[in-house]
Amino acid sequence: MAGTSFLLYQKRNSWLERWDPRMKIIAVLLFGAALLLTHSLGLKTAQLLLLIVLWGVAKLSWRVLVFTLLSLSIFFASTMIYQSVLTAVPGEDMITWGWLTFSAQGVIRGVMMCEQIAGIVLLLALLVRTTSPIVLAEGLEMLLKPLKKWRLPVHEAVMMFSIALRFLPILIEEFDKIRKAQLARGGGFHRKGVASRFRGVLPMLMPLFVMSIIRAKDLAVAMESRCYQGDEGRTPIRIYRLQRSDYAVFSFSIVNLAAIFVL
Amino acid sequence: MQIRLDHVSFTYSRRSRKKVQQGPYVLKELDLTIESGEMMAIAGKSGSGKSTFLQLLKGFLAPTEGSVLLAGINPHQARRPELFDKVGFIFQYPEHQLFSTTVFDDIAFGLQSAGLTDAEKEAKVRQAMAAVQLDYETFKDCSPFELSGGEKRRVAIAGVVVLEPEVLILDEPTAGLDLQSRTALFDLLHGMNREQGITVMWVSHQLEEILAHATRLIALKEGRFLADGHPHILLSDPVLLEAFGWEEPPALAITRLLQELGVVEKGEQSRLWTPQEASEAIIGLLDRQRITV
Repeated sequence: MAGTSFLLYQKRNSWLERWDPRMKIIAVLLFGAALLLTHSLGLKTAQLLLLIVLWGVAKLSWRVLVFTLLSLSIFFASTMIYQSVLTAVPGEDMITWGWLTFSAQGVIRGVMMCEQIAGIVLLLALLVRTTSPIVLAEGLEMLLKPLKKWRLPVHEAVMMFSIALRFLPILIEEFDKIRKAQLARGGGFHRKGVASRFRGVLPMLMPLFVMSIIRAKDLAVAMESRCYQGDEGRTPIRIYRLQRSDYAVFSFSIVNLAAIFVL
Repeated sequence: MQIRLDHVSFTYSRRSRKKVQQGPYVLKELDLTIESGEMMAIAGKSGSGKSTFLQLLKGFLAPTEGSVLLAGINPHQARRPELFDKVGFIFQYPEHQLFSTTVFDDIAFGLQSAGLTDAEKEAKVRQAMAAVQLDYETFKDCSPFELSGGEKRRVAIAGVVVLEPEVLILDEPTAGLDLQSRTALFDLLHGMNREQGITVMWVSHQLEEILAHATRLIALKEGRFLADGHPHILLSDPVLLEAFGWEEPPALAITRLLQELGVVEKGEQSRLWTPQEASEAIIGLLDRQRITV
């Protein structure tokens, strides 16, 4: 259950949940761009701290935040090794610590890269965890509406995206159930060597794959039986209007992006 | 193998583990002894803790408080998880967990890490297939995905039976099966219980099914055992029926009616009357009393 609750949107009545989905998506894009473009360690750190503050404002679990960051530890470790040890440029300040020699500038580059990874992941986690999939899909569809002029299937693409998002926790639960079922008839293979455990992967993936297809087929039938015919003749159930806070979020995102060129 | 639950409580919430008394518990202070060779049904509304209870018996979950003892040993405390291998667990719709290209490979999955020779594996698979009444020569090379729903379920059960469990736990085993397959499944379970002495425990919402096949019924409500006893007695108890929102099973209602009419002696619990038998008995009674309807 911990795995599924990590991905699920849960209503917490936070300020972030009240933001317009369109503005939220734009803000995420602008903030992400600022995070990637800035070369200042201070600014990147400030942006990351702001995201952590927003995590608190969104009333999200701190345990989930720690879990999210810890799950990235392998990326952090490999990034730090790559930046400070493997790509050290001659002429940089080299630090020797025991048998290990690494570049001081490389460490800063590594820290910046790690902050970038953590920032992007937190940004997306904030977006997904504070916006219900259906609202997110509607926001995305409204933003991509101009592409319909070129006959691009925006509605269908967004619907697929929203279904995929909603399927993730279901698939995780399904996987947990299949895992337990296979452990129950596995004769204790999971307590034996690596080869035995490896053999146990197929019995879990195959039923999951089959179940996903069955579920997708059932969903398609259910949608068709409720007269779903794509975008044709559909009217929105919710009307979105931008509020003052949405403009404030947009303005802040622009200022944040502009700051990297000024500072 | 005897299973004993000693003051078992369980909560999924980590925060409240130290305070089960106040926390949102799923199971609360359960004490139970399951003797070897029982045919036991577990009933209760959705969310009453049935699945959690079964997962504790299989060792998928460890109790927050209290202990689960298998043959007098607490596998969690004694660090002997292999003891749980003696408990076979069949989830709902087990046919969804089939994966191999042949029935033989699917059933033999659990034997792969047992270090058996091919001949030994074949002998065990043969035995398991015979136990679930699947002909070895006919089905061994078939794809499990080409079989009927009932046959698939038998293959999945054989995959657990092949490990020679002493206790077999089934979560709603008859869900989605037709009447014929349901009857065949229970014939199978009774056979394993009678011939191999396997303890069979299953979750069911079908009172008729419980009445016909179980020798013991445990009724769970909000994480507690509300009743434990013979299904004939428990399902005749109007207080219990009302507590669960159940209706008296027709077979019991007919028996009660026959008792009131004097066709059956009161206190007879072991015999269940089918509607056909009951109508014949009532016609016989009316005939004897020369009453014309």
